[in-house]
Amino acid sequence: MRKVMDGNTAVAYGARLSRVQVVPAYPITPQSSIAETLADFISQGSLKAKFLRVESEHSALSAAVGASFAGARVFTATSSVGLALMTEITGVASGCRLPIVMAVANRALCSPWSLWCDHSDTMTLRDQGWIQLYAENCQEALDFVIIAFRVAEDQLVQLPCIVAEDGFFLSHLQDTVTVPAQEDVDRYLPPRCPGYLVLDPESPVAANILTGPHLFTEDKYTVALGMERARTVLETAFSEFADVFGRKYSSVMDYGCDDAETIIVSLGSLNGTVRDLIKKLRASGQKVGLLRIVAYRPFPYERVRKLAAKAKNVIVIDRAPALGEIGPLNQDVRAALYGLYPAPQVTGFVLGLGGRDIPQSDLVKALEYSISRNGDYPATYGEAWLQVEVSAK
Amino acid sequence: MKQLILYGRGGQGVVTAAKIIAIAAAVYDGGYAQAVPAFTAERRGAPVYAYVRLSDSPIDLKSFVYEPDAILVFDHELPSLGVDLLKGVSRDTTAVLNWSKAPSQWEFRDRFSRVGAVDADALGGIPNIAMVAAFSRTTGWVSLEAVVKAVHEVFGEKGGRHNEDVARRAFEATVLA
Repeated sequence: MRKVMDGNTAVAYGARLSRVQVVPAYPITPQSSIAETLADFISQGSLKAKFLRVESEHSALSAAVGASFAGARVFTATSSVGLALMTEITGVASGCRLPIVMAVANRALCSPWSLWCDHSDTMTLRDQGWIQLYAENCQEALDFVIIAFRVAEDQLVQLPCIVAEDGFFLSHLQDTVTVPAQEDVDRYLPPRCPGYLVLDPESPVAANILTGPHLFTEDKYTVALGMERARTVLETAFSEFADVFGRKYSSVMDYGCDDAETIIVSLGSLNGTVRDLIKKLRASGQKVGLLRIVAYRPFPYERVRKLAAKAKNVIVIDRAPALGEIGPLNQDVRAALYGLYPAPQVTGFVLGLGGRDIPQSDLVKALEYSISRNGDYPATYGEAWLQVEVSAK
Repeated sequence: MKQLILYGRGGQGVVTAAKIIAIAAAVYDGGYAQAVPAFTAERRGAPVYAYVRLSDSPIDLKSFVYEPDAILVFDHELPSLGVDLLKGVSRDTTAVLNWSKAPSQWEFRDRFSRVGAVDADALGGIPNIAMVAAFSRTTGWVSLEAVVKAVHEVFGEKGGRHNEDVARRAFEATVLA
């Protein structure tokens, strides 16, 4: 069924089609309409689930942890400082191997206050044991929720997963979306089969207890292993999704990397704008490719290395401010390329903060700068803040 | 691909108009469409804008619209509030105006290839549906029948009938120059 809907509605459809059972949520812009739409679905009877109104995001994720421990399929959503308030609990969700799926409508972290998009919120969770998938359009926002449950609940993984959609650029973008049939989703995503630990009042156990130095390392290692296994599980889940629904995804999706001299690496909705530009550039004979990171965690090091190895020039765009370091995506790409000889030259850019649009004209500037180094852009650690207006330098 | 900028004021239904154009094009005319949200303060009377893209194939581009193929002007007095209606327009750009006079009298007439005008305020409350119908008439990029179906989808049975009537009357009343 083809519809026009925004990213938040698409996410809510994805959760409904996944037959989520518990939805604890607290409102925050630009996420709020995800929770509101799910509340509507529940009150209309099109989704049989328990909606929990809680007093904060900290409580929302705490309730999600409890419900997931009890064996339910749990979904929540947040943004920005809401995610920041959850961070005491985010490690509990991954450490206890709870396959909660959380949509994050990406919004800048303060200060200064902003309602608008960048990735500084989800980047704070990059080392927390949550799988992270970044949608490029509203169709993916829907599809990735379904795929996220499939991967998160896999017996080899058992980890929480974030589906990130750029705030406003996707959360409020009205886009053409095909809504999958429920029977197809049911075929792709069976009911959750909880793992070894399910809380049951008939058979009480203690979980998430004080753990001494003799076991803590081992516990963390198993989470790291789960993330490692998620790489393969993700690819299987993407490929089986294509078999059922016809839409092909992967942890890394490239466009024209085979013969590209310059490769642009980016996350989220920006990829569409980059691909559109690359089509025009290639038509005029410029060998530029797109290396799109879909699964930011677990980071697909080997595939990034393989795809970028032949390029002369790699551009990494971080939609998160790098304060005292190069940007997070830039760090990961450089780590993936470490030891290659000859290695491509890597140029990092900080773009699109706090809702600033990234027009193709700025991408062209980045491209030119990466090749010629002509351009007087303010920089930290060699990473160009290309959109800083001259007066602020 | 066609790119639109909708200029209006808070309360004129600009965002809904963008959505209806997108639904008409993508669901009922069988193409692809996206409506990009306005990043403006949600205040009644303040200048607001929205972007729409229409295409025969899936739309990759996610940035704002900088070079519109058409602009829809919900209030001809917007320039007095500092809104630059000519930003990014070329000689090929079409304009659709909410105004009661002949489009040939509009001060910016010569900057556009084609201008359509409808007295949208006179046709029934909020001007957005009349503007969408005038856009359909002026450009032909979405069909009136698709607009009517989209209006029913968005407004339901009762609101749908009223707004269908507004759309059909606005389509007929649109003056081209």
